[in-house]
Amino acid sequence: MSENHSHYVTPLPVLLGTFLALVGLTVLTVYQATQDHVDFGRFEVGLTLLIAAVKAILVAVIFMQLAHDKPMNSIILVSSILFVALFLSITLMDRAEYKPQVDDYVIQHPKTADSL
Amino acid sequence: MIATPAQIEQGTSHDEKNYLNVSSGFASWAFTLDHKRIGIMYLVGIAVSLLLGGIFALLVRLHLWYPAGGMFDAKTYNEIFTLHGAIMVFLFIIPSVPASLGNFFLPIMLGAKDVAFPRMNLASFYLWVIGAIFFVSAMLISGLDTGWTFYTPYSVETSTAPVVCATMGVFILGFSSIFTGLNFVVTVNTMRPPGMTWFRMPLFLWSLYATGIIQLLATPVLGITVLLLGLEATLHIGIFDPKYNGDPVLFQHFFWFYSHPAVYIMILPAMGVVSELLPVYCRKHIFGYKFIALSSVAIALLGFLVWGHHMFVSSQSALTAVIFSGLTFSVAIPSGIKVFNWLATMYKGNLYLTTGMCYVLSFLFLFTIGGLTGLHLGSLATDVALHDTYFVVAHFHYVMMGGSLIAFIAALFHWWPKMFGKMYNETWGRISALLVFVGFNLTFFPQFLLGSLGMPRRYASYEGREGFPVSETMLQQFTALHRVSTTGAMILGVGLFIAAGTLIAALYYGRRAPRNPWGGATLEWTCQSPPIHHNFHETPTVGDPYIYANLEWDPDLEGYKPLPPASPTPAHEQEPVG
Amino acid sequence: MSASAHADDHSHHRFQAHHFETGEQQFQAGKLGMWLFLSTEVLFFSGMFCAYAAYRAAHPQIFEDAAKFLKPELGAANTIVLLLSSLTVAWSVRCVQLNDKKGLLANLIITLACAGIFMGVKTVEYSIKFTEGLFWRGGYTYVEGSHPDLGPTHERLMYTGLVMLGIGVLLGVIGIVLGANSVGRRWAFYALAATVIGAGVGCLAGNAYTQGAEGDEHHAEAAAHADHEHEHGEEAAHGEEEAEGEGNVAVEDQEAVEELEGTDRVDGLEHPETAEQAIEQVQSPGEIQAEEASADVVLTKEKLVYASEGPKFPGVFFSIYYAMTGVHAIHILAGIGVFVWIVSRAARDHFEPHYYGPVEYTGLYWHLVDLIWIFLFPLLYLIQ
Ligand SMILES: [Cu+2]
Repeated sequence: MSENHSHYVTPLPVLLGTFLALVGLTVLTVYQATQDHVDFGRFEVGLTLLIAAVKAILVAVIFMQLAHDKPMNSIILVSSILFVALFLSITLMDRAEYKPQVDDYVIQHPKTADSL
Repeated sequence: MIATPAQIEQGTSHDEKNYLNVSSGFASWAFTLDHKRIGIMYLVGIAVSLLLGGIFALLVRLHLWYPAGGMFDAKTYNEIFTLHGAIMVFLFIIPSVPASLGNFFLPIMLGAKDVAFPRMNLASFYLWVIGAIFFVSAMLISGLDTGWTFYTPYSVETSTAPVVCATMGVFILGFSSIFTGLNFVVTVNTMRPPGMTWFRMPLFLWSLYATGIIQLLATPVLGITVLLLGLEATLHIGIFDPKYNGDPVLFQHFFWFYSHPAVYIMILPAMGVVSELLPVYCRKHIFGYKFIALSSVAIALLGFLVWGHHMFVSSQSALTAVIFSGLTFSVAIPSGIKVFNWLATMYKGNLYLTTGMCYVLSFLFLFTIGGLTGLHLGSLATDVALHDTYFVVAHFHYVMMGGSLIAFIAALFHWWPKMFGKMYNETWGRISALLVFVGFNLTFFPQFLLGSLGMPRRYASYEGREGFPVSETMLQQFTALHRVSTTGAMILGVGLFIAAGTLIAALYYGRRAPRNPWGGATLEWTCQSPPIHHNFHETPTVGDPYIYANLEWDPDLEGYKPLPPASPTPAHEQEPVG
Repeated sequence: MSASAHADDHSHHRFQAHHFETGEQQFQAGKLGMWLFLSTEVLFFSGMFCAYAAYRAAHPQIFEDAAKFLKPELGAANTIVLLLSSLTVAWSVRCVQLNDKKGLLANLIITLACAGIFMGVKTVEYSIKFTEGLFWRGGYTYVEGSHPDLGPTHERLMYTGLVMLGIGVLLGVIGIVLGANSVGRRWAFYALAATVIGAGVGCLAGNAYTQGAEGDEHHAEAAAHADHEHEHGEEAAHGEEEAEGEGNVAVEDQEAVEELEGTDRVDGLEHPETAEQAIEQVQSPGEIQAEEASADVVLTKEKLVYASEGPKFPGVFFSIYYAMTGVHAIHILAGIGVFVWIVSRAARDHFEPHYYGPVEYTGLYWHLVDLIWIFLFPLLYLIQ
């Protein structure tokens, strides 16, 4: 069957290299989170998520072969992430907006150990 | 669309075994992988759900004949309207057109033998059955009274057991819906026949495709929402329940992120039906094909940006409410594009008032009213006054029932001859269309007035009490309008029964249907009525699905037949139908 | 998919469904279907990510407080285990494309063993949290500063791990006996055995590690206690230093206490017991003497809100933790089930370079489960 030749076979060094890169990034992110030398403050969350995103892209592009697949499959993955972003951003924006009201209410009605 | 000589020949030759009689026995249906049989099984299930939901609707209407409520106590009333709403939404409207007619006709319109994943298709049907049994029995036995929306904290604090059962049912039904949508999207993407480019697809397929996108992107969020809700009700995970540090408004965000797009799961297939039926019965090419096709996708995507319009008075922040209100108006644009294109298709058309067309005309009228009253609810200031009144009830019934249900019935009449090979009685069909149209408006138009007068929805009585004072004049108005509405509901019920009776009677007494009784140019009209097991012997060639000039009325067949390619007859010389 | 491909291939593969024109069409349809399914999975998890983000944005402190109960080492180990399984899955697809049956089976078995290890480590984590009372919000019984005896739990975990090893070996033996005539059945049992042995290994290793770490912690804690007074003395000296840790908490807590005591106008705090309890709650997380704190720091409403939310508020973090890791673990279990079936089919020579869709699709699913863990790990274990 000739059609099989169109399927991309990932070379072994690429697979192993990707794995090593992923492990390296994992070690890096754990080190970054537990070290005490440099404090990234507010950017710590962003940095950690950035490393996670790089790992995710490696998995998607190489292990899941998106780099050599039909663009439709990449579009599907990206659009699902866009919709997640939409869902999270508007919901979180709204929550941040009404939070002060909720906080005031909570302060006025504190919960205690036996209130539930 | 030009049929091959072989197909023309088959039209006159003796019929082969069709999908209905190719095999028999319980197992041949229960384990079938044939998309047509699965569609029929869905149709039966959906019809039963409609009957159940309809009975509960009539009970609600009868109860409200008297200001104090004539039949049930308040708790029972809550359970009954919950049953009505939940059954209609989750068991009837969402699967109605896609799962039954979509399943049946999507592969045929593609000239394919089946959907991409027939096993998943069957699994989806059984998930629907299991979900439905779970859902209905849980509600009947334990008495769910939260409304179909399961708002927290009420749902997690007052009725744990029914909420847990019902959410499990919804979870399962959600997966059934996802599988159907997934199947359709993959089938359309990978199994279009040679020659059928995206813009040569029948519009029904475009609408099912857009529906599939929504089902895939929105339904999983419903799944996780009801899962977390179930955990909240049982384990108190403190995400939605304020008593346990949770946030009930967050629940509404979760819920409406699915449930607003779900409105388009309900209406988009109906719009596809109308786009399919109108040009056939107007004997005229659809106007603005690309606009209708792309507006389906636009509706699907824009539908994800407006969920907060259900939360204007639910402690949503002012900023978000303004944004959502603004975005809500944007959805009106693609819907408006469709309506205008339909009207333009009818303009100077050669209208045949078959039953299908009568229902389509009702759709146009009712859906437009439903859509326009949506603008009142989408604008912030008026919504504050109209929220949770009968105005909302009337609005979404004009869209959901006047839109989706009416289009569903239109589609049934249109495709019944193809599905079962029998013609129905046109007179009774038209009578049913008239009764449904009159009954519908009598039922729901008064509810716009009731809502404007301040009648809240979901109330078991309107005689007035603490917190809901009702003056003497108001009481008279409420009573009169409620009674008109109840009377209308009875007429509507009779109309629907006549429609069902007409269709069922056709199975027994109808004359044999020809291949192409209406002169449609989509592929399903080139295969036998009812279709053979594999739909087509050879993958058919396709052209423009809305050119009717190549079809000619044949009195012997009592249907249309394709002209020999050499001598096309002008469209206006064709004979009327029936 | 092309006409020429179709022309080349007159004999359909035995697993090609009748409604597809070519094997390639079937393959691409299945792959598209799997990608669409994965997109639904992304949105399914998005609900929990949303809940996480919502509570984290509003109350970062419960996440900071809860972080000390999670062992990044265990999470990291599980991350690497899952990454390894992703590698072997990708490798197994390569093997089947190259018609290397041995490689295919070996890679799949390693994948299953990794899945088992992951579940074993999760068992250890869950068990220890349950013993400590770190349940979801509704069942949260953890009392600040309490040190429940974890000895029996460790013992139970050790026996669980050993029993799993035993069951795994038994499954292997059963496979040899029952599968004498059926290569598919034999390999299905091998696959199960690999999974269960992996789970036993994960359980034992995770257990041994936590036990060891706890021992170290006790030593460290005792040492730290000795330094306690000294450290705080230093911090008081450099008052404006933005040092992280207990000192800072103390300062802010003190402010919260003062605000609570000083503000009579806060409604709902008229009842002295309520206010006092709220104050106690502010004090308890740090376990710090009020006098120790000094510098004047502008205090946000956050602390007050945090105190008012009640002593079981951190339970919300664990609700989210259990929801996310629990649903993820269910996906791992589902993946295990499918992979056992794939191994059994692979052993029966169902797959070859012309037909390997199921291996690829299951692999895609597995990668996505890994991908979600790649985000869960830092969000739950690392960000403090
Ligand atoms: Cu809406």
